[in-house]
Amino acid sequence: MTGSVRALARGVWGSRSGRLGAVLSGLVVVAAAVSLVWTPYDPTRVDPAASWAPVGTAHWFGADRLGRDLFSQVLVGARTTLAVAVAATAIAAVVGVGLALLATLPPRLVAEGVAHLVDVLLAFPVLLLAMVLAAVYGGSRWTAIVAIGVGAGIGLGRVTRGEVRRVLGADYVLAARAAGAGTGRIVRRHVLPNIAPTVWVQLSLILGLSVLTEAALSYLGFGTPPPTPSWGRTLAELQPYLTLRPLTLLWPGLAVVLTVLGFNLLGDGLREAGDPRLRERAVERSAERAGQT
Amino acid sequence: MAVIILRRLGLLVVSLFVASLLVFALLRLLPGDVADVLAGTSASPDQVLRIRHEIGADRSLPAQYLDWMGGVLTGDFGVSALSGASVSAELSEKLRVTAPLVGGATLLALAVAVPLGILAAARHRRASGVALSALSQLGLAVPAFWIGLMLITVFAVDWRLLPAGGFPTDGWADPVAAARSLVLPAVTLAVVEAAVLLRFVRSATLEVLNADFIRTARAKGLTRGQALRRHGLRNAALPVVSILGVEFATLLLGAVIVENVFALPGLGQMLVADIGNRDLVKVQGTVLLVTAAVLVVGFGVDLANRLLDPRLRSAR
Amino acid sequence: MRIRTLAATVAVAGLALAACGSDGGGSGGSGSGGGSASTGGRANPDATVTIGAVLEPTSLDITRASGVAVGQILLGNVYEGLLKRDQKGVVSPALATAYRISPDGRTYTFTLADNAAFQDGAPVRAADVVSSLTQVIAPNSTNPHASDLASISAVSSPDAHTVVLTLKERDSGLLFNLTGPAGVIVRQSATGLDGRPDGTGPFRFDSWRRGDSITLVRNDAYRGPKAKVARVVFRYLTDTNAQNNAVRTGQVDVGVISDNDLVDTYRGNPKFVVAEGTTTDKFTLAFNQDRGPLADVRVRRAIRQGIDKDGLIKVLGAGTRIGSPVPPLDPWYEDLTNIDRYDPAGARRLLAQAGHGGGLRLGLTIPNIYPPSIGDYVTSQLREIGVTVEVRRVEFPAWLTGVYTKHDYDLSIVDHAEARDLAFYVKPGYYFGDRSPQARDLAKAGATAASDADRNTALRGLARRYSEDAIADWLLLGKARQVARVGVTGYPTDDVSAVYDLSKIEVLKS
Repeated sequence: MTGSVRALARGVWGSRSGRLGAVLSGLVVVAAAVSLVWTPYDPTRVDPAASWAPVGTAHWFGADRLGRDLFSQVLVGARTTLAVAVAATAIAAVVGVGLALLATLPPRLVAEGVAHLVDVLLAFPVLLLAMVLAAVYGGSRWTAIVAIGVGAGIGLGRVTRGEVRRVLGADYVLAARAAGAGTGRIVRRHVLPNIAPTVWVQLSLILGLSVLTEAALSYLGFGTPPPTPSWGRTLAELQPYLTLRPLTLLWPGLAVVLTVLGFNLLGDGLREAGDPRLRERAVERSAERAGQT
Repeated sequence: MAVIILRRLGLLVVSLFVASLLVFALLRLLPGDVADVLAGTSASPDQVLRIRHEIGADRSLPAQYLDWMGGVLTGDFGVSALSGASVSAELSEKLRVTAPLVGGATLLALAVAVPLGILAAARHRRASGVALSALSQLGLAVPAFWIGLMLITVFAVDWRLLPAGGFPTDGWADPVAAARSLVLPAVTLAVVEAAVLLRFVRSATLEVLNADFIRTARAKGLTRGQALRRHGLRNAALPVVSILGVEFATLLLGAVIVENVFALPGLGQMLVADIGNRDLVKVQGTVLLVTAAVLVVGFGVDLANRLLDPRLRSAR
Repeated sequence: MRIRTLAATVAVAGLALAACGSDGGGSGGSGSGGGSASTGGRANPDATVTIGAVLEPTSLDITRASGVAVGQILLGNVYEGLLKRDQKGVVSPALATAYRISPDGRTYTFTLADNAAFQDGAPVRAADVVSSLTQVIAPNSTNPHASDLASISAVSSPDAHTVVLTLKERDSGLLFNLTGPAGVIVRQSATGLDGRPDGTGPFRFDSWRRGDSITLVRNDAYRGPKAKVARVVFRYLTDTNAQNNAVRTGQVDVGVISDNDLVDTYRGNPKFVVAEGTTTDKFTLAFNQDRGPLADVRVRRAIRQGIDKDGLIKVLGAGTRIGSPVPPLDPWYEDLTNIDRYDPAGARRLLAQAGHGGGLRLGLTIPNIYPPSIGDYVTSQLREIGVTVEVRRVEFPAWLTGVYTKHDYDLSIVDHAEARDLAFYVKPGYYFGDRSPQARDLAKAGATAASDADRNTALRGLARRYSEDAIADWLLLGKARQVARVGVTGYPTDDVSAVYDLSKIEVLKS
């Protein structure tokens, strides 16, 4: 298993988008790690004297209206964003794979019921869940995470369902079943390893998607609650000053864009590294082209 | 085929019923109710109880659910507990903003994503193809409200070409004015949508380009473009149509954001306001409508897929 | 108490170049009708004025809806009471042409205007007045403002032009309260006021596009001076950016822009006028004395001393410091800002004396209609004196249930927007306040005072008690700011959150 992970990593690093994605994502991790031990200022400390302080040696990215240092906010925001993205994606993985298994493994009636439930849930706005959770457990950073994770998990469940079904119908699974293997064993030995490539790619996309969803929910006031700095919330709070102080919005905005870009490119790299067909095809294509010239 | 359609229709009804139960239950978790909102902070506790009784918010949950469902089955979505307005009338008014917005954005996204996606696939090893892919990556990474704010700044505030927001107070009485106020919001929504679609069109086309039947066609002397046009596009359309169905569900969050940025009186904006005011009958109606729309679109997509792919026609 | 958003608050006001920078203190500067500058015959009587507002009403049934938004647009414009008040709070006749108060202060006799009519032309009869007010004071009343008229025991009409109110006891606030939403006169047996507000004012209700706008049109049959514009559209723009863009691109003629930085971009621009005015929006940090450390007055005083209100006003860019819930416009105002001045060292000492030298954790509940900055500021300041604050942002209904009704909170920030609300804070069961008999006696003495001087003395004493006992901290009094297109004049500037008087607005012919 570790061997295959190492091979995957090598594959990701080998593709151009994968490498760029890994570098960008790595930057976010480094920023988050640095913020644990050091920030120039307490990012939530209000300082009326520093209101709208310009970019300079005192405040590298300037300060917001309350005089809070934007560089510190962006640094700590990386931690929040990473936490939201990773936690939401983990929830999505559990929910998604769980739903996919539930929609395929049990007796037909139950499985079809679950499958249709997933379709219904898919139509349910994530926003509604986020708002209800925020109202019931207000003030917790978990409300947005759970809403994003569950929402994305339902989508993942739908995508993965077909994949699981395909694996379950494969000859080797039928053979294993005939040899007396139990459901648990089949899931562990055959289903999970075989759906893993698809799931990993989807999860990397969900990673990026949850950063954007957190920003969107923050814009509407249902994201990470104050005073925890998050890029989404910083952006939302600064947005009235778009024309007035565009520079203050640049930093958190850039952070969001580069992070999502990084996660998505990482996903592309994973896809290319994990999909042997793609690689084969690439070889074939170059061969084909070589023949043409 | 007819049997399949009937079966799927039956499932649609069951799904909607389940959705109605889910939304009803979910909303009852909310702390505070509409009687609190009506009474505000001047009313006495006795008055709050009287108001709660007057609007029927003190009835048992099953009674409230059955009352609501009974109305819905006869086409009556009830009335807002706050303003007394008919929910059906409100919904249809809001749909006149949101439906063209979402529909226009989807068409716009398709119009951009399909040709560019095919181009990106056909030239995937050349600079132009790579640039298109990079562009779609960027479109995927920028928050939608951000794009909206930029468009307003440039096209409405600086250049004064289009309205900065809002919708004519007399609705579609002046179709040009109404359409103009939807241009920037639709573009905003379409950018993200197009970025997603472009990627799917590109990979679907790539897949097809390498399929055996294209190679056969090329062996018969067709150019790559001809082969693609004659045999490939129909096959490439399959996954794109599927993803359109899934994407439709995520459009609501997008619509809420865009309606907020552009101050459009649409469904999404109303939903957020109604949850905030605990006008639950209206929220239930809105969510049920949206769920129904998504399920119906899913149903349509399923049907379209079966028509596009003969192999699926006999499948359940 | 009514609740509004900071944006609404720190931002609705009107014109008058001369008024810029006026700082409460009673001189909104603009008097009644901001740009009273004469426009000669150049005004356009067919004009439509679009006004950008922030908080949309939840219902247009003024007899049933709480909150200020419904009164803001309908009071005085579509509906009238027996009396009205101007932007300074001065009361004058409206549907009543004259009134008489008996020497014992318990009988009010009103003479009705004989040419007042509802919008279909039906005359206003004494019976309409009797039924309107009786419904408010009825034991089963669902009018959320019923307590405004609680002192009335009976309403009667000896003849078709006279209405008599009989009081349980003297009520020095009654005349003022009759100008509010509780005193509105609706047609006897009126129903369906949600969809069709039917009043006697200079405007008629035209239409309401929920989530967007409310349109009023001139009532050409109005008995008094006719309105100077044909139509008024209130457009609701919650988002600061949307409001700003609408003003800048001319989509609204008058808009509410609270933000200092944004307002500054209009100053010196010949196409716009910035108008500032006063409000009664008191942003109040309430202390829950019923439980925990806040039962100790030293802790409450420490918190007051730990928050630099001047700094808050500076970063928010608008507002006036107040030391009690009394705004400078009220006749019983007294400058109490010296009580518990900003003194972080003193605050830490007080906390140490109270046994919290090692730190203290408190929850702060804020409705999410207010911008996060105000809570962030308070949290940051209190951390400096060793108080760790956990912020809980909730939707307004959740605040009503949790904080207002169940008193489940430590600290809470809310905009108490209602004018002259001093007596609220002695109510038993109110979510914070002073429940001592002395406070209650003062409030009662103020309400039943026989003279203005007696009333003012009592209420001044009450406000001082509140402040010295630190029942709350008053973070700031909101300031109203409007930006108007040049060519639009006569819009109100002061106290516009409760009543937005449209009768003098005019638009120059361009």
